[in-house]
Amino acid sequence: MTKLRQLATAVMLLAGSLAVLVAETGPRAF
Amino acid sequence: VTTHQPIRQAVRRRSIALAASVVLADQATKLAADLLSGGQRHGPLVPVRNPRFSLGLAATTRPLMVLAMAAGIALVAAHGVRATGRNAVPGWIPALVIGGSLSNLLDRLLLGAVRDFLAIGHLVINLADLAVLAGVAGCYLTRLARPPATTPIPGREVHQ
Repeated sequence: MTKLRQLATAVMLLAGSLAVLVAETGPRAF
Repeated sequence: VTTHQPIRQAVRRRSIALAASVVLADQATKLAADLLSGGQRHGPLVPVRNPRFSLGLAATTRPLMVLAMAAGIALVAAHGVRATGRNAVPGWIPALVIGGSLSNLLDRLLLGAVRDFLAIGHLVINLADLAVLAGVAGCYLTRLARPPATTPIPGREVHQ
């Protein structure tokens, strides 16, 4: 259960970070 | 739980210090690129000011855009605190993402555009973009692309 929660938290962080990267950098780069 | 408290606090302090260092380093390199390049349009140093943002909303709704970005960063920070608290990811991952995005947000807030200077192919980016990219890549590589931790002990394999 702990492993699953850790994975879920990491996935949420990755999704948020990716969103920031796409919103912030994407339009300037392309 | 209480025995982990000092360790968590130390990780949090180090992460905040790293995020602050990313902001300082990014702002310093942007300033240096402005001063050193002499307005050149070729080579690895091409300082430009880029106001663009998602969905082309830059010109009309800048305050809204800054608010949206700040909300996004706050969300990543909240997830980052939770993820490092659960030992799901090392503290440097959210620190790089938050530091990089904060520095670019600072540009938008103070100058109305992000300062880019590093020409890579047809792209012109900055140190903050690289920090965010490194954080995203680090999150994927350290957590999601890692092989399963459970390996069978030699001689103890289960034969059926």
